[in-house]
Amino acid sequence: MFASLEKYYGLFRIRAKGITVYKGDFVVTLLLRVLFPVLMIFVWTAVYVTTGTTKIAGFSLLGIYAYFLITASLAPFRSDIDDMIGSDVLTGAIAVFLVRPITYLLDSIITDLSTVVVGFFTLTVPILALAVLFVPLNASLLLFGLFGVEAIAAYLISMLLEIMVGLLAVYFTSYAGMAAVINRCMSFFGGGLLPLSFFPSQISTVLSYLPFQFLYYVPAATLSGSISVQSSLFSLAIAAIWIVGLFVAAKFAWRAAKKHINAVGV
Amino acid sequence: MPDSIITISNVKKRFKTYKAGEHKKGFLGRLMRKYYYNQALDGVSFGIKKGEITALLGKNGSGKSTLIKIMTGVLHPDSGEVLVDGMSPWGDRTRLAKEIGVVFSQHNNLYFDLPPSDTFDYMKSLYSVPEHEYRQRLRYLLKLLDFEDKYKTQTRLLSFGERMKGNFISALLHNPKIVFLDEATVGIDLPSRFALRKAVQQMRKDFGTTFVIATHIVDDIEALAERIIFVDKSKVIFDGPRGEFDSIIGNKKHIELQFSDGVDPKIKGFGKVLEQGEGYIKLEIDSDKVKDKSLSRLLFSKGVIDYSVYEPDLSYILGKFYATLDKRKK
Repeated sequence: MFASLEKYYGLFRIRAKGITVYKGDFVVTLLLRVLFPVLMIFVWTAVYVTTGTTKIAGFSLLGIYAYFLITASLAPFRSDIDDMIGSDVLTGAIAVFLVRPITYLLDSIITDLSTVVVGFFTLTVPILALAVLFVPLNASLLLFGLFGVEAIAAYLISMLLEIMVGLLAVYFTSYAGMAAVINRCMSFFGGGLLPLSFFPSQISTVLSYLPFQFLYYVPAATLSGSISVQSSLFSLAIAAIWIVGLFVAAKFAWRAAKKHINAVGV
Repeated sequence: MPDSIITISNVKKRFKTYKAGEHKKGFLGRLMRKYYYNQALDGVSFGIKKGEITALLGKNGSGKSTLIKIMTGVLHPDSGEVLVDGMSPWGDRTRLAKEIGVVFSQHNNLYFDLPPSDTFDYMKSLYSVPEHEYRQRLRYLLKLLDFEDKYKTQTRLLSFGERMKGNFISALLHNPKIVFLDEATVGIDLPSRFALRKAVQQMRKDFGTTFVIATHIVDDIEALAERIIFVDKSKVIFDGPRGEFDSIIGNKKHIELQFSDGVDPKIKGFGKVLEQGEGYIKLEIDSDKVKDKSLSRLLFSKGVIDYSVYEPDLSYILGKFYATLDKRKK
């Protein structure tokens, strides 16, 4: 048991060390992730001020500030595991991991988690602190707690979806275009570019049953107070069902893909 | 084979591939590629004994790397049976991984942006190596491969040969029973190559480690292998001890000379002429003739601009092999 934990901690440590080895690059990447939400804040300020509107689809201007700051804070919870799996499969580097006494997927998930944890401390915490101090975001501890659980659910859903996207590399030599389209869809239908309540009601009803809303919209709407605690809890229950379903699907996808892996350089 | 640590029976594996510009027939055919199947292994069988140093010899694309990947659980064969240390490589992959060490020349085991020492520390926790054993083994391997000054330098700053030494150490820190080296000595500098060879011999002596070495470098075989499995066109064309292999190809070396004023006819008396051109000659000579004094005198004479002595290359050996097989059939 302890030997297993030591193995996973060892992997987590070396990956986290690898991410932060070039500190300048690390900081620039972080700043780049914040660029879009900052841009959105300027765009929506212009919209609200020039039109004299006080509320759009239930969001006040301060609500919009809070929403985009919270989605920015969620950036580390979007998994990058598809890139990792895709490049390991295409370059054949997967061979190195397949001869180690650890399941490849678990190795990739822990590697991915090290990015999440580093990102949580360097991006999520400072951005949320900014939101609390300057917007100001008046969320109760209960809402922060719910947000925490939803952020974890967001990561699990994005990670399980991205595993299947990454495994496309096993079947298609060139999968990057497809992966980019799927990733953009995840951001768009997840509420990363616009709050889902901005969409026409029929579309938002459909989206409320899909897994993407949990990536940004549900946690951001919960913490900014634009949805009630009850509907947030209801969303969490749907998220749990999606997580179980996607877990089973990802497991089958990996089992099928394993037999087709032709490590490059054979 | 009952005393074998590795048994392979009738293994077949093919890969799907396509050729650029070739499409299927018909109206929509232009949009669809025409696929071919490349038979990488076609009914391969052999056994490897515990503590043996075995060379899997073959040209590039002969199927030896596919064999290594099947034996280590990376690839699934289409058919056939494989047992490595009593386990199925793909069925018991993570359990088998604890008993084997693998070095791929094309893929780095070291984390590129960190020094090898970080990878070594991770290997310690990955394989649950006790602290004192780890320190002892690390010291032993660092000394054996002359890597003490380098293992704390960032991997990306190391030479290819140094990285290969680091890969080798990381694959052996957990004291595996079987070590697979996939073209591990290709493209590295001579001192590193010699250090790796020395390490293989020493580890076999000290720990009884079994080594399976896939290579197309005949020199490696001369220096290391006790047993040779020769793979060509997806089949095993020879499986036997080094002595038998040497008796087929003969204990020969190749020598090439360049003369300033035409080839000195005296050189032809030292061996069989393979090629000759304007001021150039290539000969096959008996290995012991390399130290012949009269040959040395001729090599150092004024008329010789340049010369080189080397092991026969694989294409030449293959030719000899097929000729011998034909003779035996007749």
